[in-house]
Amino acid sequence: MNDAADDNAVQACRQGDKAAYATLVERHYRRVFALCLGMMGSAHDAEDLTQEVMLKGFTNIRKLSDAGRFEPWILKVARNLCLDALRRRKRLKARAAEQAVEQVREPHADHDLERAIRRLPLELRVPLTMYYFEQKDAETISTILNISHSLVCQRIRAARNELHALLMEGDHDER
Amino acid sequence: MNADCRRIRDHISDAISDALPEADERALREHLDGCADCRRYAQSLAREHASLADHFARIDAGMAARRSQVLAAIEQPRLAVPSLRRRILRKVAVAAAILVAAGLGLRWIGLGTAAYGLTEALEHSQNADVIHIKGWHLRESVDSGELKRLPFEHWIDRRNGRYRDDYTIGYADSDPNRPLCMLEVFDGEYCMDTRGYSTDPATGRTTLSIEYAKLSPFQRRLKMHTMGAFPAFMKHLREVKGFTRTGREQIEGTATDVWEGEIVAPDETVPYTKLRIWLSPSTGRILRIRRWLNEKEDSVEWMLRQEAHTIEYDVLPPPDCFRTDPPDGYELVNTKATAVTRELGDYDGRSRFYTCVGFTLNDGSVILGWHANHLPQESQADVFANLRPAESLPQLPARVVALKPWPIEEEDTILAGYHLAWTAKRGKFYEWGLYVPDRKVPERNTFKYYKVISEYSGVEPRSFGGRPNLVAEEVTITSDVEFKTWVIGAMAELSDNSVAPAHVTYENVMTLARQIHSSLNP
Repeated sequence: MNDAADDNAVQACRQGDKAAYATLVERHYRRVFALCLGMMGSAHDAEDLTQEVMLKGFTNIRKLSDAGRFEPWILKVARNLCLDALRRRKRLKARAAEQAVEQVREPHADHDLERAIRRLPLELRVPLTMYYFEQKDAETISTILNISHSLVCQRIRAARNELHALLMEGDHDER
Repeated sequence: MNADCRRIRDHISDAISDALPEADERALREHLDGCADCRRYAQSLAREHASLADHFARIDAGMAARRSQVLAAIEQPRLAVPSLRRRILRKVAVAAAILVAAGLGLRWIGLGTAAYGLTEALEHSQNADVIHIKGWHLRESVDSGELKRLPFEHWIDRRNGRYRDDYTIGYADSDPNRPLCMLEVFDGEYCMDTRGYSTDPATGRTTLSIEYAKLSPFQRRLKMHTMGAFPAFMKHLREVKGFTRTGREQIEGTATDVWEGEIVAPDETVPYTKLRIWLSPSTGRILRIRRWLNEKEDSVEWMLRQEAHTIEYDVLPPPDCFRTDPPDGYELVNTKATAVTRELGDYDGRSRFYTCVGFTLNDGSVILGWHANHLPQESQADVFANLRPAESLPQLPARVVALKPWPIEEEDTILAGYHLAWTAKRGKFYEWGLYVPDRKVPERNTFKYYKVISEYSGVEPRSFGGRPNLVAEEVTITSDVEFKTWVIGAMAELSDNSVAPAHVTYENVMTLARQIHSSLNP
């Protein structure tokens, strides 16, 4: 949907009005952060990436052809940066495995939970994050992800089951 | 677990989501009554559900701070919206600059007397004890689209280390004609800073709050150094090569040359900027500036967006200009008596992992001061005891292991961190790392920031309450004198005995950086 307020802000931003971009950040930061959190599974990574997304959005604002469609555009930027980051993460993991570096891990319930969330497959982690972090219901999630309502319910169930198994395992080496 | 249990476990999850049809609820209850395994599973899932909700709620709690960090990054002057044609125009500008350099030079000759041209105008203009700049800029309201003038006024008294900054951030929602004014004054001892507007919901009365702080001597120097005399758009004055002299005018009885040109590669958000500058040929100082913006690539319509209509040098400031007594009607967050001194090592109080200041050296290396201690009550003396320059950084649970110019289009350059020195003040240890590039660093004006690459060992990043992301304050060092002023000064400020480590000298550091660089590129 075309958004008039975003349209105005994007136009002003193209004229160099940083305050106008600040309003776009205010409006869309949480949504972008939620997407990054769902894709990366870590608040730390999500924070980094959201910052990168927002700054990239600012420097590339001229590439946005339809000023009223800022949100889908910035979410696409976010998705692409997250995919790049996931690829980097995979490469780093492979390298770390080669070097057999043992990380000292402090027992911490929340730490374990976050690591378990990170181990979930992407297709389970994203709806789970939408459900708990964005507090969206299955109907809304199905619209956003363009999948059926029953598939959303199934994925949230699977995510819970998988998380339960991971937390029971006690072994939290990431894949 | 049998097939029934599998089906029931899906029901348990649905019940937690409050999405289990009534018809299935009874079956679930009956099964749980007779199946201890599924009961335990249901209890675990309920606990995990609560943990998940709690986990994500805690992440959500930091949202405002994260958003502020982005907003602060956007405010950095180096962040710009680059034009699609910018690179081409930059090349054209360089070529044009070469062509006009011989003709324009640093000075031009007129009327038989030496007269100043534009290329050194910024230097001449900033080289004054007192500078007064008054003007306005236009901002478009996001809601109404209406353009409004927002006035500003700056006073800088370099000799006495004082400044005053009045500016307008917009107009009140309740009264579109009432400007929302902000103020920051430093009287040489106290800094009085407006914190923001708050509205009492009961009375509807809006008040502005004021906070006092003191600045340490080093912080004062740093502030005067980094704030510069010319705000925002005037820094384009570094880009005036190729401007042409279009006429002469009088301003308040003073003869000026009028220079005009388009900035093709500005270090700001809008790449299409036109400036008109009124310059005194006898002093080389700028007396007035107008700035037009042009949004569209092929448009010939320029819109006047900013003007500094009054620029004065070495004039006497009004008697109350730098007074820091609270104006009437302002709410005080604290008083001068309770004002804290802002030192270099002071951060926002929330984070125990942060960078203090960065120094860029001639060869592209960076000296960065940082602190990390997730357990502030614990001494880190042992960790810092046997460190050697040019060797590994201290084995702290969080470390700034590298810096990365960002954003750059070329292959990633990484500045890897090595220990240079440490200082300690009031029980806090500061690492001064030397970050040496693995290849030639791009020109400093081609990237916006140094991004901080941090590493954690055995601790959760959030246990520090925050973390560094970008190098905030940055000073360029090109000589031994600057090194002593800034690097040695910073280390001394963050040292109990106010002395920097003896081995930290300009020559030693440059030699170390060279040796490290050679070892990286044998």
